[in-house]
Amino acid sequence: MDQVATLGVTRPRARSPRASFWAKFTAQPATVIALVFLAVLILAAIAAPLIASLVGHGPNDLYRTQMLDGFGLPRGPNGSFWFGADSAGRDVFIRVIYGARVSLVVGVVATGIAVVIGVTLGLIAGYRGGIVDTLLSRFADVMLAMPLLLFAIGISTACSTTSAGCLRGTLTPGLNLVIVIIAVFTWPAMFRIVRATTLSLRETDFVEASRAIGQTEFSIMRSEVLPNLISPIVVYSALLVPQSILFEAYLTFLGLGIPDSTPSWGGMLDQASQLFSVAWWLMVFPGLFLLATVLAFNLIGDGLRDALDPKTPRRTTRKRAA
Amino acid sequence: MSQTPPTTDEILRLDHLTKHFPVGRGLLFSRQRDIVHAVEDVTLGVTKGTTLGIVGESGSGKTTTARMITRLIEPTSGTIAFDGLDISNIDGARLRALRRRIQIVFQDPSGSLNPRRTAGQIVAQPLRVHDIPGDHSQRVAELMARVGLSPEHITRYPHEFSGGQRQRIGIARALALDPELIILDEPVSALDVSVQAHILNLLDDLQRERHLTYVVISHDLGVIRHISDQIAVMYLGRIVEMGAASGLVDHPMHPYSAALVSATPSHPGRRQSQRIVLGGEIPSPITPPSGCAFHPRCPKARLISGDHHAAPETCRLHTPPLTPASDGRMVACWYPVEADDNLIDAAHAMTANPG
Ligand SMILES: Nc1ncnc2c1ncn2[C@@H]1O[C@H](COP(=O)(O)OP(=O)(O)OP(=O)(O)O)[C@@H](O)[C@H]1O
Ligand code: SF4
Ligand SMILES: [Mg+2]
Repeated sequence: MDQVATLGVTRPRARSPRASFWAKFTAQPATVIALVFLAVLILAAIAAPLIASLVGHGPNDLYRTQMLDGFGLPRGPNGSFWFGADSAGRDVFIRVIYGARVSLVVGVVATGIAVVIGVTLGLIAGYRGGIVDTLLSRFADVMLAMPLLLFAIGISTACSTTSAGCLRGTLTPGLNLVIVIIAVFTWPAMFRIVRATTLSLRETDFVEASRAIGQTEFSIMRSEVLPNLISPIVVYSALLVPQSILFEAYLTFLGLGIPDSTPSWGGMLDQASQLFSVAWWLMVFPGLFLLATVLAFNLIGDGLRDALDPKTPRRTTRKRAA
Repeated sequence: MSQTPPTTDEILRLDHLTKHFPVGRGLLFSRQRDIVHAVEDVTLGVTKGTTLGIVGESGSGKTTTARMITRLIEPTSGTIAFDGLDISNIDGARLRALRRRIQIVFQDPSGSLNPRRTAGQIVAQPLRVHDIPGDHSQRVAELMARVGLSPEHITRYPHEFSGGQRQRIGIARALALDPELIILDEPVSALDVSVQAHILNLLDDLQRERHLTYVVISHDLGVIRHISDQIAVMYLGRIVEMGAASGLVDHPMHPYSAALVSATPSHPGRRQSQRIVLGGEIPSPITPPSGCAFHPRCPKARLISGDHHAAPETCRLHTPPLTPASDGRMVACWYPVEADDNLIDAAHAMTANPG
């Protein structure tokens, strides 16, 4: 073992991968702000009933006498209704907080389903190649080529005409339907990334080495290839979440997503569009929250990409002269 | 180490081993396909406990041969026998059992180690895959120590090591299952010259200690002649010369081997003016030259024809078979090099008067 010393090539102990990940991830102030914003939003969404009881207003409580004027128009922000009231006299602040629940649940669950489908199929297509790859890739291409919004509108209309839903009741209108629609249309994006990366990993020497050792193809896929896909999967998931949140807002805005009894940002924007000239707060508050949430997820996605890319220098390292 | 004639001690035998890769012409829907003649009719044997070095320029088919021996790709034709058993077509449990006996070490030590696994996990991988009973961590520690790594290296990731250390990890992984034959594909060519010697010494020690058989592949004759008992010289997928290492390096009989030897810088007393400088590029293995594949570049052929533009008809039309010459040497050449051949000038005349 003294041979090691004579080689003189032992490098100084690098920082643990986790520590250097955090250093890079938090290097951009914008990423940190986005993280803090999302942390607060998630806490607020979880604690929505608690906040409602502290304020004293439920999300569907009507404050007609207090918050509607003589013409039946809503009143704006004041000391106890921070974000004003909507046309039915409900507290916009409380509804925005409850709306965060819908957006976050849709964003995370729809992305989660899309990731599971996209990663599984992408891994199989990229690793197996051949006819399996051709079939799966064409299928994903077809899904990507579909006029997304049109199809989504079609499906949700078909499944929303009665409360029994469609496909013998497997899809009922509301949150679940929205999540399924979004997942069905977003997995191909994840599929493509995973397939392309797997395609190049399949040719690496360490996969070849695993084969030479006698590891089965399934085991190589699972324990050699998959761990090397974590970076692209994590980064891309973070970018799919805001896309899903926006998609839900579109659907609900068009009256095809979440029913009005459940507060959601898309639904609130839908109502606001009819009253914008007299009640700006109906548009501004849910709109701002939607914008900030989408932006925050995108910033985190960018931050993750930089932090997980070994080629990104850490901010703290000295700048070399170009 | 002594030169052994073919005996029952033979652990590996390749017979007429051939690999053709079909490649698309790039024309959409075209049925027409080109064929890369990566390995052509390779026949050789390796004696237990010795080292066979395979040397040749880039693209001569060395890696393809290695991948066929390790059954990572299927031969187009020909057979591979390991320990007397034809392994060219085995699969399933028998192939899995074979994998314990033949291991491979790759050229690029960073590419052959999974960047998401620690050194310890990488070395333990073969033990895990084959469900070897016993204490894996103890075995890993022994292996790491044997290849010159220390215990604290076990939990580190490949990017935290130098190239030489990474190759040590690759060697430890190859040793884990106590194989009999190890294929080393350019084991040191990615490393600094100072580190190369350490790795070659380690390989040498391990071979003696564990009675290992090596097939070492390199484009660098300097590396090959240091560790090989037998050397096979490959050119465009074929073996052009094969024999005991010292004899072949001292008296190459094939004009291509002579050029390789003369270009090896570590050869004692060798000066630039004594190099046989070959003109032209190595031809495409898709359309190998007719007859002897070396004829477009061969200086000896010019000495025979007396014309520095053309090789004699024999060389252009007939493929020379690998035939026994003196001292167990095998040569594939119609006009093997003789002591008074001036190949340096012949090669010079070719490059000076191209066309
Ligand atoms: N999978 C493949 N498909 C098509 N052609 C291939 C394939 N693998 C190798 N070849 C071709 O076969 C020939 C021999 O390649 P091989 O890798 O065996 O050469 P080599 O002697 O190892 O060269 P190097 O020193 O560059 O590693 C080359 O022309 C190469 O382009
Ligand atoms: S057969 Fe002819 S062309 Fe080929 S190596 Fe010998 S002399 Fe040269
Ligand atoms: Mg090679």
